[in-house]
Amino acid sequence: MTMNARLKETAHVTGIEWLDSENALLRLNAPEAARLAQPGQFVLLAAGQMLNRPFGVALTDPDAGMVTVGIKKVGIGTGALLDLEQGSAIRLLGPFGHGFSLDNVNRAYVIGGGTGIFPLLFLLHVLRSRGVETFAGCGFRTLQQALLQEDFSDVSDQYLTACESGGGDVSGTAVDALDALYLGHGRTERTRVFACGPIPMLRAVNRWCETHDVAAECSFEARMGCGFGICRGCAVPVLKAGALDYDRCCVEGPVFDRRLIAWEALS
Amino acid sequence: MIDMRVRVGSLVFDNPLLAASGTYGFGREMSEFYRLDRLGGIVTKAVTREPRIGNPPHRIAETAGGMLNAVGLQNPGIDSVLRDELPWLLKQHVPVVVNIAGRDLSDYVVLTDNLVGSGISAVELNLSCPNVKTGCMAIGSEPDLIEAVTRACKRVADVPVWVKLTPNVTHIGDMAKAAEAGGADAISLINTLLGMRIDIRTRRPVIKNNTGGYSGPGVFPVALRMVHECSQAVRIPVVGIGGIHTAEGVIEMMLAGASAVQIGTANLIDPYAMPDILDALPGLLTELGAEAMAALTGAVQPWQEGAR
Repeated sequence: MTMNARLKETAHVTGIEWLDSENALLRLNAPEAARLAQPGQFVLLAAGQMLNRPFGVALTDPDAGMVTVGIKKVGIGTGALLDLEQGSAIRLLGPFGHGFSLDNVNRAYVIGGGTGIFPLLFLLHVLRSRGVETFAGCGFRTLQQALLQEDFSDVSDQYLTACESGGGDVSGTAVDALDALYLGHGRTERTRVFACGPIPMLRAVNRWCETHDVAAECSFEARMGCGFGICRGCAVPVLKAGALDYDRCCVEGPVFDRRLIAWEALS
Repeated sequence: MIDMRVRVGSLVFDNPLLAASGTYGFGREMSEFYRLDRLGGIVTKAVTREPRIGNPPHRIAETAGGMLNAVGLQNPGIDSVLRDELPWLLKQHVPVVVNIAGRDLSDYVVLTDNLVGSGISAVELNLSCPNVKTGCMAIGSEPDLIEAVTRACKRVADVPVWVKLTPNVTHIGDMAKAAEAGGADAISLINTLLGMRIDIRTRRPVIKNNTGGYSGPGVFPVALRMVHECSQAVRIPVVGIGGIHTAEGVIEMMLAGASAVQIGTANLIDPYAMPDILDALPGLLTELGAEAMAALTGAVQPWQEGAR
């Protein structure tokens, strides 16, 4: 962020694309955010409730001034956002947060689960445009719950859907997809895993990366007060010189190097 | 031309809007949004003697009219604040009030002493945070302790000492009087109201600390009443805090008896809240026929018993 960058704008809803009964892509005209957003960063949307809601940016089109976020309807705030009519104006703040690092990587394993898959789409687009080899895997409970399979395939050298109940490309979790992809493609000097999803998934990704000695960046979710660093509400447990500390999901995160996270302290 | 200046004891602020402790960090993040010298002043995040990592998450719960927080005074400690935060903040051409929090009287005295000569405008004694086990609200609920801590800090301070009061007491006026008796230069109130939320599916409190402090527009009428009550109870100035989100709220708080106000939760919801309120104030004052902000302090005319 630079002084006087406009980090607040009135966004206009240009469309809501339902992916299933509870997940949708909200497309917004928000030129400043579209211009500034980097993969892994989030925007805050006013949702008719007290606190703003953070959403990882799922796609941008800077030329068209468009920002897309993926939203799962879980409560009143997300419900209100997904009830917005085309053309509705909402307050957008951001983009905020420390996103994925894009340098020093030539082979990327991109692993997602739940609503964590949405920001990975943006990441894959950008990695691709930088000539990085991209292998992606997303985990779902059932094949019926699988989302955006084609979109992910389009921006991956190989994409696998993992379903715990079977029927996907891989039977099991997102980490089983990671395992299968890695078995096929292995590593280079500059291989990195990028993960976003629920904590049990991130924990399993971390363990897998430890076993295989692979670098990983994990994107976390947290209940945020402000979303831009002043309230210290969105604490993520980290290790600093071996001691427990709390970083802010909204500033130091949401993307963290897996080695920084105090995994035992995560609940 | 509206005169926006206000006076809190010996201190003069260019306008009545100060950022409230815990909702503004040490100013760095907010300087990305606008120039800090627009504000009347900034009250820092609470500072303790030792670095504190704060409470485990979740620390935040949303609720009607506001939010609960139980951050637990996460801060890098006074040495780091003096070395890494204050030199930068003091260069932003805005008065700085440092909020200090301790476990006992000696913590407050040491912190006040550490701040001598630092160039800040005032010290605000945090006798009101509800989210830690010792000190703070435990001190701020006992008039004798309020008086003793205030007196001890006054002895070492080289700047005015403000005492920030908790609303979680039976008679806040008694707490205000205790601060005054200890020699406080001003009182600021309210800190957050102790609250709780429960997740009905897990049957667990939403906040890991079980309870948290309630803030936001929902607390405004409670804060307003308490500011009025305290301004009647003491002769020292009162800084009004609690749920102010609009220019109208600023005026109401001034009328209730505040000499200046602090804006808290509004900053979290919209980082531009304070400049937006500042932009709205002159027009509102003109509309109200007021020429000077300071003239509004305590200008409420309560109904008299039996009045028709």
